[in-house]
Amino acid sequence: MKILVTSAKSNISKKIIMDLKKNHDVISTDVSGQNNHNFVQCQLDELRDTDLLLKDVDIIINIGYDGQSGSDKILIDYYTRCIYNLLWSASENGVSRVINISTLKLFETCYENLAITENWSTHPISSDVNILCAYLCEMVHKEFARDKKIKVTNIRIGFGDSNSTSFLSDGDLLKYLELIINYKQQIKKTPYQVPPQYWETIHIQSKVPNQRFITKKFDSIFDQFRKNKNKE
Amino acid sequence: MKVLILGGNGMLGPWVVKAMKTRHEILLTDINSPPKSYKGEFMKLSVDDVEGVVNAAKGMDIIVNLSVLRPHRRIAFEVNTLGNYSMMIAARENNISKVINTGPHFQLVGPQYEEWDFNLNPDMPPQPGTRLYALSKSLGQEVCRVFTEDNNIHVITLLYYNMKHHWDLSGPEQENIDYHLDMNVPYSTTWPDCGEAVRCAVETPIEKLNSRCETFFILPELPHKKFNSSKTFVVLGWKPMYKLESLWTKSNRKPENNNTEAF
Repeated sequence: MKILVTSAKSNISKKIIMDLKKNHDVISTDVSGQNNHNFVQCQLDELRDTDLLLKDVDIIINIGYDGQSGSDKILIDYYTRCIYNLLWSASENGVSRVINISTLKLFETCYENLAITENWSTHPISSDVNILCAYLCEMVHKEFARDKKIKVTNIRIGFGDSNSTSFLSDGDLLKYLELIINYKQQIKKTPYQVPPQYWETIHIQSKVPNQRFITKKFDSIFDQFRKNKNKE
Repeated sequence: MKVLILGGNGMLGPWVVKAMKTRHEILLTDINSPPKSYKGEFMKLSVDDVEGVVNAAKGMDIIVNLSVLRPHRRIAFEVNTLGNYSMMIAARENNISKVINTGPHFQLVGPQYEEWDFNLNPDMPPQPGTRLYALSKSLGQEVCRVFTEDNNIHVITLLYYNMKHHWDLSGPEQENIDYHLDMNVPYSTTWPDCGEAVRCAVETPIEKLNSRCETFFILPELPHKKFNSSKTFVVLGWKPMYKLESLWTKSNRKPENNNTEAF
């Protein structure tokens, strides 16, 4: 399976790339910078470069939060226009799936005692352009999914240090991501026809005392995956 | 009131100026200079220039955004998405509590709504789809909405579909009208009425708004009931002068080629 990881210079991408290389054919990209990490530099413009980047790619792992730095203008441009170009090329070049790594910080301003799940509306804030960009980036992905141009798994990951109730350890992130890459959506069989799902959001964080976010959806995926593995 | 107009030298701008010039103090801005016949204040300004928009908004009571760009990917995002960010930063930095935004219907009502449903109303969650113009404007609208959540800024968004002259129902996108088909688009509004809608929005007290972020379809009441604009009449007090009946009734159709066989 060939996987493209975006924002190759970011810390989160570096960890993901290093781990995924154990089991997958991985390439990575970023829009600029010193290319001493063997990534493909691509501006994600409406150009053939973006199409070439996606040649034979099966899955894109997009860093939808905190993968870029710069002015507000640069960030908004990247998380809207560049992601639009990436997804447009992906849909034109037969990429089957995108995993967008977003953030549970989209709920950071909510009260801690709320039992927040994937069904809750997010609360982006205007005072932090990075959070605003994560929200806009999710929205671009959602519209590509809505138009059935590409299947999107939008994962919102925990944040904070190991004392935080929202914490997600690097080890858990990498373990959970591998599961999500290999997981196939379970289409519920009902008397009514259920079309294939193009858009799905999953919340993940580590199991810590007073865990802030409900992760039952991911837990059920994890259980199903284990059962399937045992059968094999 | 002192009104800053962004992107005021496009197709809608002159009608907005005409509707407001005797009642308000206007600072018109655009990347293109206005025609010589324009007598008011003008400043050359690109809407994606955050600092420039913040400076232009100093001392203003209201910002009106008429800027749009459709076909070019980079500029479309710069104008339609980043432009709204500039505008909202300018409103926040200058303590401006009211902003009028404008856009196309499909930044809210994309094909997933329009091709399926009726009684489409402006309080539905946005489904713009992936069309460049629709999505880039919809992202800009979401920027506005997020700013209204945590700032004391009210945003009124006016959504248009087709804009026409009441005396000429052809438009830039359609040279010849096919009279033997249904209306080509679900709603059309005349240019003067489009300009009046902005004036109504500017003059609507914020106390009349249900929330800090309210959207309105700008269309006359139409019998096919595809779009519901009742909120526009009640809240903004907008009364269109023209209904463009010849687009949606048989009796008023007078094709130039006298081809009336369908009736």
